[in-house]
Amino acid sequence: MGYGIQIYNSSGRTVLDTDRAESLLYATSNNTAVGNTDFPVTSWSGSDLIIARPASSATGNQGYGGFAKLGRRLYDNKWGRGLTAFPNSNNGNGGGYVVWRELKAQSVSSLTPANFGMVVYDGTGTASSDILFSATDLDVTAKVVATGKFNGTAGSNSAEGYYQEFTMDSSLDKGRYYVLVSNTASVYISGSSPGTSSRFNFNYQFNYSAGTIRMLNYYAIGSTRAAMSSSMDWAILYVLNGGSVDDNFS
Amino acid sequence: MAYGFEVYAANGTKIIDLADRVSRSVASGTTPTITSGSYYDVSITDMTNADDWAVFAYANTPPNSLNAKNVDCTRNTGYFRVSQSMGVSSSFDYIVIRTG
Repeated sequence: MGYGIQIYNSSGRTVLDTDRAESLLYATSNNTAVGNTDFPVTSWSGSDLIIARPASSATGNQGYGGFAKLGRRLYDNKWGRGLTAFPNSNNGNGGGYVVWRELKAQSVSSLTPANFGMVVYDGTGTASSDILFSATDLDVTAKVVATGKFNGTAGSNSAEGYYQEFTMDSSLDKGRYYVLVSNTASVYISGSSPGTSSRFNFNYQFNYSAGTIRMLNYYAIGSTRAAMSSSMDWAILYVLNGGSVDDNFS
Repeated sequence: MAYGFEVYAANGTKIIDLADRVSRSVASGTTPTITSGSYYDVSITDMTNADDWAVFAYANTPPNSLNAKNVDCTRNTGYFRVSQSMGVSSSFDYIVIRTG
């Protein structure tokens, strides 16, 4: 490159590169939601990336092993894993509701950077839409800690189904692990009776006791579980400096 | 520090560390309506199938049935492909991020 700035992390991955029109993603608005409500609120746009986690480590008595399963109920843009929303106030998994955050590119956030700190533009101007990086507007960040596809082969044709498993770093706050739920999917299978065994899952399952997050990929009809392999991506993120939104985890 | 950079929030909390995978937005949009059994390719400069890319795509009008699972999104050199056989037509919202 003839000018500009390139920054790499300790493993050689690009952090910032003015040769690329790639604006940093950061965590913006947040809220909570119970199961069976709109995803995450009315007027959600599919161009917004939504990350979420159970609101607490509390576990209930429904679902496989009492874990908190979290995803998007596909057909009507509501939280849940099927006909009955999940987590919800009935089963208590994850405290009965989710905490969600929106990830947004700094270039589409109409930022007005402070007159101090580092701001990097894309080389086409200094409008807010030209911002690649603005340090003073990065109060809350979400770093990617794992990515993959919903194609795990762990598990079995039993209640647990099929999955890949991510283990949280035990030295970190488990309450700051979020999953990207925008492209998760679960749906009640028409013709089956409502319940945990009549839906398909491309979603996440938190187990705070074991310190794991499973990326589920199976469908279930009755007691039969069948693995599904999808090229859809999943992501796990760790939120930094979330403040009181994340301080309620226990 | 010997390389990279660190960013701290005003309260002193480190929000970007030397080893962090920082995610950046590359593109977002909506595909045209894709009929069942078809696909649509979206060109993305420099895209590869490596793990530093991710594409999150979701149907806007999926069916309320098991067929809703029949969606794929594959990354290739220079583009990604959304294909579907859900039994109904649908457009797809997408967002592309990069972490390397």
